[in-house]
Amino acid sequence: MLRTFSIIGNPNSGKTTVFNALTGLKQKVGNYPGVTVEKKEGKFILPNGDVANLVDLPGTYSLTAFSPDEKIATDVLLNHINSSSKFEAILCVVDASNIERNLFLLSQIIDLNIPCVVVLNMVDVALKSGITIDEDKLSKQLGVPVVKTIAQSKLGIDKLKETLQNHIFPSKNLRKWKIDSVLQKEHSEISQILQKNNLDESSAFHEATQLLSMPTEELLIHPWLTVDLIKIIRKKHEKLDFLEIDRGSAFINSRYDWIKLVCDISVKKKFTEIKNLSDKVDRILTHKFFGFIFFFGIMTFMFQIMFSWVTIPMNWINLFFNFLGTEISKILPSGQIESLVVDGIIGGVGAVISFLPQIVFLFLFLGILEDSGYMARAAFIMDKVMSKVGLHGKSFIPLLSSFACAIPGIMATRTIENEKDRITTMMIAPLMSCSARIPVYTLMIGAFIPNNSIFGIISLPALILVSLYMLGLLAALVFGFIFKKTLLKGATPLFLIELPQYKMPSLRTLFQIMWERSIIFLKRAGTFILAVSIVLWFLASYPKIENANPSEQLEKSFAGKIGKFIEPSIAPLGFDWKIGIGLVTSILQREVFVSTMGTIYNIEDDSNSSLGEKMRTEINQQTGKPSFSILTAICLLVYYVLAMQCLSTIAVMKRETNGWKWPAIQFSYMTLLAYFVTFLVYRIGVLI
Amino acid sequence: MDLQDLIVSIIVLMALVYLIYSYRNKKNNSGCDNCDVKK
Repeated sequence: MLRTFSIIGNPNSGKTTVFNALTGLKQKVGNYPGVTVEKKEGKFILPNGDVANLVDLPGTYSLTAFSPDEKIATDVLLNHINSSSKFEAILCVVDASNIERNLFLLSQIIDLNIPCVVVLNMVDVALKSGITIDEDKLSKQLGVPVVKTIAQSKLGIDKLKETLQNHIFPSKNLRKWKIDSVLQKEHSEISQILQKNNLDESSAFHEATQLLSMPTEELLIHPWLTVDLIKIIRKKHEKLDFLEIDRGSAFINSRYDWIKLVCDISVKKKFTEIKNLSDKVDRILTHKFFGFIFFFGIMTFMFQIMFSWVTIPMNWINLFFNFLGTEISKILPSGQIESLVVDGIIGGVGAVISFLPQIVFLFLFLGILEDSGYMARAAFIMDKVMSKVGLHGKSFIPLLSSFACAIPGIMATRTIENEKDRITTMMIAPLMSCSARIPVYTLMIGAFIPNNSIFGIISLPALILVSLYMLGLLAALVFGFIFKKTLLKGATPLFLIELPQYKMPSLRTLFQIMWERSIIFLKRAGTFILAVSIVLWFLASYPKIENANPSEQLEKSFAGKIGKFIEPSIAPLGFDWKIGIGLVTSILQREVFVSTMGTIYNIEDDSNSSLGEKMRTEINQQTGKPSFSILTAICLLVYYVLAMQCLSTIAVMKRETNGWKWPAIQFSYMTLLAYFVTFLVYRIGVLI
Repeated sequence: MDLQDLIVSIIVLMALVYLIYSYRNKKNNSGCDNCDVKK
């Protein structure tokens, strides 16, 4: 029989790491709160060979749900009680370095009478902070099994499996915290009424607690309360408010009184130098001035490396594809098949694959920042800027994810409670420069921006790249402000973020990130981009024109005609018809622009020069001047920072907002913004 | 149309079919090839 367990815990308690350690899966983990926003499932094998199913729930601080992701966890637990698909027990992951707050959630789970095992995770981090926990005493106090783990190193996982296999979970209620005596009577009465309404004892206890704590006006919007019940509860609210009892915090305080008793017996704390050092480092990294300096400094450093060391493996890949093209030309008979393979496939796919080192490096660097705990500090310092535009730092975490890709960024907005704030964040997330823009940025900067250095330290290409990222961020802030003042009006919420402990990034996690990203990138180059390159080669090579030179052939081809057709609309931006072809094809995905240029420039020019060199040295037949200037390159970069060129993002926006309204507004405003800003840059550039 | 034209036409058709299939898949799944997030 398939046994089912579920896993829950506070955000950033290492819950997903425990899930991965048990199941051997590779769900994304991060050293900042809010990585798991969906319910995920995996399987693992118990020591006796039984297969067990494990459901990973989004992190939550309590079972009083506010945001969509927390609601998933609460719904699953509450439905569990009456659902047919029951799980045997719940694994409650507790961050040992932050035990008091983590036990709050556990106390609510115990209230619901759900059998559970406490996974006391990150005991190494706790020890470094001077916290030692006696697991036997803790287990005795809580009344549930406690297993110590360091999930990142898979320590304690075998013992956890043994416990799950052998422990017989009692059905009796283990609740030990006491409700304040004044509240007790009112609570029991409501609880009894709820039990008469077909709720079992534990669910009725949980609901009665919620109903007594909530603001009176929220009773009216409660999904299932009857008018009579609302009247009864309202009277109790009035009575308790008259007695000046803080209903909102009374239950919380009672729980914490019990938690304190538990911790006094089982937890020992001593002051350590490390905690002190971490606080000192935080004083600089979260400083309102030095924090920003560090943030921009580290970004510049990252891009500096991207244009120096990382270009070395990139050149090797270019040399390899040139060699491959030359050798294949020798084998294949001259004609259309040779042109398809060499110009279409190798030219297009090779142009994109040569940017693999940049992509891998970007993810390595973001992985280090994330895993070390710095990303949460970045969100903290950005809160001040975000609050100026009416958003809070919680919105910055999805925006940070969007540096990798807008899709997980948009999904990460599920941690935002307020619907208007959530939509605003989704609307601006694609303005953050994602990894698909890297090939376009690197191609244009590498080909057209001179490799000079400023103050002898910062290279000009790196500075331009930082500016592009900042332009995206600035546009996101401006449009966040506009949305919050117009379509999505609302108050600026307060922001609370837990700053995780600093830690050495795990090499295993970093390698895993780089490996996965390489596979994803290569898979896409070998499937989608390959198919686009083949179709584009066809469009750029047919219909065949007798006795035409390669340039004339391209101009009169289907692709040439499409480019010529849209040329009048993009000419004000300084773009010609060849760029036009790239703009049209890259609506599918941004890096398709690079493969498009690779294919059409290979058809025209079969020399062994790199794509960047071909673009730089190309002469316009009509004007006799270079087709591309630095200004054209900058305009193209600005266009790609701001334009919405991603079909997948549009699809995910439709899913997350349940309709076409917001994706349509997003596509329109971003395209118009890209067009007008690029137009302005071009006009100003021409005048200078 | 010579043999080379015929072969490349078949390859181009296959690529087109793949693109249409991948577009439909994207529309239904809203998954992303660019990252590891699936519906």
